Amino acid sequence: MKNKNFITYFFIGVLFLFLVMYPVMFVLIQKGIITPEFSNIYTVISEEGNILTKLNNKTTNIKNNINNKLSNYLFLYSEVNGSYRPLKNSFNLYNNEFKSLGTNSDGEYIFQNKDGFYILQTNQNDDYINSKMNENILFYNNLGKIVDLYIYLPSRYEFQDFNDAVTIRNMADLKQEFLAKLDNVTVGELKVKERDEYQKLFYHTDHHWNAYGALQGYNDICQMLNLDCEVYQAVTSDILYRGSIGKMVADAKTTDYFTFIDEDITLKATVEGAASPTNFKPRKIKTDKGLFYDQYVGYYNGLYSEVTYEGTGEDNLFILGDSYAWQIDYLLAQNFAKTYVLNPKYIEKMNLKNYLQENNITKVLVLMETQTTIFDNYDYGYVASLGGI
Amino acid sequence: MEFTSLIFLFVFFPLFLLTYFVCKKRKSRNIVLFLFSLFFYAWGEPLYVFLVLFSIFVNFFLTKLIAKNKSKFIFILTLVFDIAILIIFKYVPFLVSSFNTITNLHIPIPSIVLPIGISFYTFQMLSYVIDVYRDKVGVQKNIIYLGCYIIAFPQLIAGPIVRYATIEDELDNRKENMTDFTIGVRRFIVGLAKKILIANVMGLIATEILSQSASVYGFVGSWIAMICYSLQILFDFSGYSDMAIGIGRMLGFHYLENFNYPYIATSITDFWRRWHISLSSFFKDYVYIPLGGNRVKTPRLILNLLIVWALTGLWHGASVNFLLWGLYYGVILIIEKLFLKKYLEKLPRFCQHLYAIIIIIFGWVLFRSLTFTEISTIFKAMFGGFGFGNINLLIYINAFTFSTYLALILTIFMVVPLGQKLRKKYPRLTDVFLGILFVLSLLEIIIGSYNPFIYFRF
Repeated sequence: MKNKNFITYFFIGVLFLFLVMYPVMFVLIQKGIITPEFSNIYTVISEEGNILTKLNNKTTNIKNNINNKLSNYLFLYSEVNGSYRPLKNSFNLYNNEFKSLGTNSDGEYIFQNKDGFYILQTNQNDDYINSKMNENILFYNNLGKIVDLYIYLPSRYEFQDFNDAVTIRNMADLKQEFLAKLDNVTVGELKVKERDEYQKLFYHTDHHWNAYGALQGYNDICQMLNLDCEVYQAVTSDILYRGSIGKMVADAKTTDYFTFIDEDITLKATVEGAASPTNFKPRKIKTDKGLFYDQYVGYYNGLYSEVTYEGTGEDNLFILGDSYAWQIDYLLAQNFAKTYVLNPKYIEKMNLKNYLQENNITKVLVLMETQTTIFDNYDYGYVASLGGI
Repeated sequence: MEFTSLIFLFVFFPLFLLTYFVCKKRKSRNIVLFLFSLFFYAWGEPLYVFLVLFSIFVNFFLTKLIAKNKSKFIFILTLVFDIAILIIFKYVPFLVSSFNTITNLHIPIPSIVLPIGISFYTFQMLSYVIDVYRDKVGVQKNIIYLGCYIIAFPQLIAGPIVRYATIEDELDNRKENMTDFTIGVRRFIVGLAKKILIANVMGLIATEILSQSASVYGFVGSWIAMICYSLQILFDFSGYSDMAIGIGRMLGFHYLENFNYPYIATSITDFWRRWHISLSSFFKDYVYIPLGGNRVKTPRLILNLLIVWALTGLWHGASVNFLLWGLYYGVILIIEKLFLKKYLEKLPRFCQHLYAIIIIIFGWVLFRSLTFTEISTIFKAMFGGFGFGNINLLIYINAFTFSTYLALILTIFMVVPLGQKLRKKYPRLTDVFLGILFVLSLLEIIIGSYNPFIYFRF
């Protein structure tokens, strides 16, 4: 290292290398020679409002678009994310066999055990949890007075009674406290005794239950609602699947295969008041996508505020359901004249009581992530949006 | 635009350097600097760039009149103009809300987005106007050059507050050369590493701990969080200053130092000689001394110090916690000045450091917390009011990682002048080390999304 300006040449060399590689990467990606594995999603802001707001939002959208492209077309972006992040994480400490890997985009904590199995834990503090839980209990208890209310908890790891759960508060006890305070509500839960059994019902790289877990939930719910349901089988595809947690920590090692329920069921559906679009619940596994493509969302595509199914039963059912419900809502809907599914994430201000009356609904099923059901973990504010009861 | 963003590092900055150094004449280089700085600002605040331009325009013409006529009236008018803009855009919501609280009225609080860096560039304009009026500097006759002083992108949004006198000559006569450029590169990398490899890591730990309930983090968590926060704010701000000074040096500007290892201070008086030097010297020269400085009777001295420190607090933000934070230091400095200093000096040096660092950490509690409840909760936890705390929390929030270990090692080198000493002894080796830090910082930038600059909104 004889040159005293070595650091300058290195610095300038690196900056200009990345600058020059942008157009090169652009051409390679456009020509399809390189497929970017990471596509950053940014929210497009509405360009409504007065002239200043419009101008501001317009420029923000342009900036976001440029920043997004700068990430996707960055030289070695996928390689850096795919190799440096796992390398860094390999130094992390274990606790009860689980290694902490930081947070996902919602701020929840990600953990992984030595088998490569991921779990996700809430980042909400006690004050938030207690206040939201009390609000939700009041809501469910009041709702239970006017309809037949069923709550099904597809309980994830921390809500199961495993002694080795990594947690700073006992979520299983919290769940028990929640259940003990419910009144006029029928409750079911995806309950397992052993960790090995649990790992068969949930994706290894995703926070969702897999088709086996969903099917067990479906059977439990049928029993809970006293329905004579069809029997289905879950199937494991040969398509490698990288769930949202594995994607977040750029894990390219843990093997997960997409699972699904192999039945060709087509119900008449209305999505957000209109005939369902062709890409609604396509139930097709995409084989032409990269490893980091979200098969779960692509397969079910349920990112809608309201879906209505028409089945062959007599009663009408209302499901308050998130992405956990996407796997089985259409199976359940076969048993009802009409099934109304509202996604807590997208509900706009409404009056649930009137909605139930207008649509002659007598049965309500709550089928969301356990933590969403108990304490609205993502602060959707669905109790307020539904107008309370 | 942040210095740590992809667009700055891999697009804006290399393109700027290319354009800047392709131009040979001073005037064209200044025009390049001005235009790129406008774009840099507009990237963050597309609309407020017109406000900055308007301010430059008004200050340019009014200072010319001040220089020509020696008019006190125009001087005061210019000061009122600059301060009014600062008050309107930074303090009106706070003033209205405070007025509502005092009078129990419900005047609607205007929603005003704070222009990035307004406190920094307003103070630069003020120093220019005052120094022109005092005949300490000559009036700038080229509006582009004045624009380069006010909005030069290296120090535009987070300082240091550069006095016009510092770069008056260099605006026209600076000499860019390889030696300065290399010193600038080294300084930039140090700043980048401070921000990315230390401040962000420490900030994340502090935020994650304090987002939990006090009953969970307790005594141990609150202390760890506040120590991490203290390191975050030091390396965040001094890192940004290093990057600004470094880029300035690459372009031939010699900005003055803004930090001098503040956490090795032996008293609070010493701390404020080492922390945000450009701000404390600004208040000293333009407020404290005009108020009479030290040459007044004790009650007046106390009043002067409280005024200066209330203003220092409010400069950092328009909210009560910043005012409290400023007054907290005002009171401690008064106590030190009047009697504590002579006793402190008799203590062993370790005790002096311990005293200073504890006072500083308590100060950051006021600085960080936006509500009285938050302030009292953290203090209560730090004094054991919520029990020892759940040590498991540290693993839960992922505090034991490669990034943390690296941040702790770097902290040892950068919080005391150890790195500087090693640089003198092993210059080649430290360059290799800097190269590694640069690569690590870039890797973190590429994979990281947690990257807030604390001082941007000041």
